[in-house]
Amino acid sequence: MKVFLTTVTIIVLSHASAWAQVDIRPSPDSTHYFYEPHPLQTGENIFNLGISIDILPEAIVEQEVPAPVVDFQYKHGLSPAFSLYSDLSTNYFTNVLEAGVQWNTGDNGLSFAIGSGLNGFAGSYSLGGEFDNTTAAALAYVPIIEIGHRFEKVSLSLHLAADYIIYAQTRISSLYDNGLQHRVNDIWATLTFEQPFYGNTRVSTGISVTYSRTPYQIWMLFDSFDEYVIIPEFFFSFQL
Amino acid sequence: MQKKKRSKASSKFAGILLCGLLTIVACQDQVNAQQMPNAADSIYRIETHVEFGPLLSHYTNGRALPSGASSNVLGYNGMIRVMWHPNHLLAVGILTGYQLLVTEKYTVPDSGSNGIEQASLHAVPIMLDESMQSEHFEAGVALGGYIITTKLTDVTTSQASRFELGMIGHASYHWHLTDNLSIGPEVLLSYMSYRGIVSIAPQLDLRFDPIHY
Repeated sequence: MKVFLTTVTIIVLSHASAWAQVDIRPSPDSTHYFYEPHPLQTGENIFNLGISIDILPEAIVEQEVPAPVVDFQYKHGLSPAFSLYSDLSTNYFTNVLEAGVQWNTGDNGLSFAIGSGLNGFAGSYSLGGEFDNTTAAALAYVPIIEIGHRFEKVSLSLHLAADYIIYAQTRISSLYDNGLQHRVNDIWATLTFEQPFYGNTRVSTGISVTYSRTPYQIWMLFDSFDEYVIIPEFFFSFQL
Repeated sequence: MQKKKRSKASSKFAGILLCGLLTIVACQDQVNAQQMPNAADSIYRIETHVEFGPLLSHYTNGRALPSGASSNVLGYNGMIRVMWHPNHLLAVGILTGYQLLVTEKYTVPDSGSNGIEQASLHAVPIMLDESMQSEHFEAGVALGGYIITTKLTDVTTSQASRFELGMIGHASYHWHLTDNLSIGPEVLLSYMSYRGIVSIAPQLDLRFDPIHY
């Protein structure tokens, strides 16, 4: 009987010790990222600041040229199921503001989201002469699908989206054109790794591939081919 | 003219953006470090990688000259990576080195000399490298460009260089020889988009960590 009680005590204590070790681990749910579709806590905010570099295609610019933009991203948890997202990208000549709402579901492993938003674009530059006051503006509807998986130390997400142009106008002085309106112009896929980088600073890195006949990144260049092109984009951003 | 102006403005703006971003991130990390002192207990290190091995390249668009040339060529590759590896999986650094993609001798019947010419293609990658590492495995990608040089030797040698965009992917497995030294096999994939050259290189990767803090 004594041996039995001693054995039971040891087993109970060792289990308690094991559970104590489990309990002191930080909850995976306390880590949230911008691109990962994992449900947020109500009222939670995520801010990201980074840089994207698009490779302008050889068909348009003769030799591939990197075009950088700075990105500021914001995500807000309305509830565990719904969140708001927004993304401002600018390099002064080209400015894109995207905002929308998404529905999130999933657990600490696999997560999934669908959403829709509006994408506003505005660009301007002035070289003088016949290219004085060149501007472009567009508004597009953007449905999105996201799927993500959280591994032990890194989160991997895939984001698929397309845009339908509601309004578009390109203007050179008094000449203008609305030819892009009422069509699906871009389809893109984004693969993102998100993880802690140094100290407690988290970073998102990834690649995005856009399939488009009129990519916004080259709006200021003359496109003599008018064919579908693929634009790769590399990006990184830090969670603030 | 339009492209040139835009390219200059773009480069200047990119520099300002990068400086601003790094300053903000550095400030943010200072704040995080003050708020969460546990992060200071972690080990950061500088890693140096020396890699070398043969390089097998494939011209996806074929080779126009010399006539009948194979699309597959053999050369060699040597690289150095210097990486900053903080206290998590991710490491960042710079990658450079030297690649001989192909060197060939061929006959040109109307050449001014004995008709034998030698042509070669060399590349010096200059890239930012980002890799993820576990105890033994490392996988990463480097983005940037190559200074690509063509040499043609007949009686004299003519040489032409230009900068082109490219990328390199790499994956390796390491065995630790000492605390600071490890060695292992590595596979490297390189892509020169403008010329359509894809290369694969089985490498030996020697890693030395000179600084821990």
